[in-house]
Amino acid sequence: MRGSGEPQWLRNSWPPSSRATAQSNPKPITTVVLRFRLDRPRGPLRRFRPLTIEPPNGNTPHPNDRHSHLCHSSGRHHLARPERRFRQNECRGAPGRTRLRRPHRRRPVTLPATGELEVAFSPHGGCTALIVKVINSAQHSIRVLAYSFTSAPIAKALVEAHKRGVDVRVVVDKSQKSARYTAHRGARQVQLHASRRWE
Amino acid sequence: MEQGRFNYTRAADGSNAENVLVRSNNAKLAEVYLRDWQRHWDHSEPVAAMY
Repeated sequence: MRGSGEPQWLRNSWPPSSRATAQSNPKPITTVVLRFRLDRPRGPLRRFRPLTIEPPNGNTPHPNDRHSHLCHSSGRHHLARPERRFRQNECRGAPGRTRLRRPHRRRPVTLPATGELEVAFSPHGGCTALIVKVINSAQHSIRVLAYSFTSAPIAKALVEAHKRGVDVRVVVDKSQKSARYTAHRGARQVQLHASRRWE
Repeated sequence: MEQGRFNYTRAADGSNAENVLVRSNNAKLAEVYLRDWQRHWDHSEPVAAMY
């Protein structure tokens, strides 16, 4: 019997032709399967992260984006990865300290220049008088954001505004909290906060 | 709305060269400034009266 010396697996191998053909032409056929990885560019093998074109939900940061936790904007930078999520307004700083989130991502605001302008220059140009005048004209609320706050006339005007029912709130720099300032003596009724500085 | 590089100190009014600019009747600008002020208020800490 022809082909009896051949192994059984060769007799039944590819291609699925008739037994007579396979026996008359017992040349082994080798099938080579070429596998192409479509998610990897051609070239030498290297560490590769598959590229995500459209992240799910539009909120997942890009795998290569290592700075999304610094960012405030919407879109794919909106949410940082869970291990990189920090409390609002904070990011990683030196050990034991929390830094404020960098403000550089905020965009400038463009507004129409309407209204009136009043300007004063010091020294002896009526700066304090102008500020006191503005404070005295307030009817509902006053919000102050200042580095230092030691001017007695301005503090006095703020306390008087507070006494007549105006909601007065002041934010000063943290370095001023321990400083001796005269305004603090008079402005103790006013809500005063000390700000952490940008570091 | 009052702005400028004038610090609320005696030195600023007496000896330093500073400026004060008061803008009135611009509600949108006031709103933008108020938003920024609120941001600083939110991350600041209350100060107890020292006197």
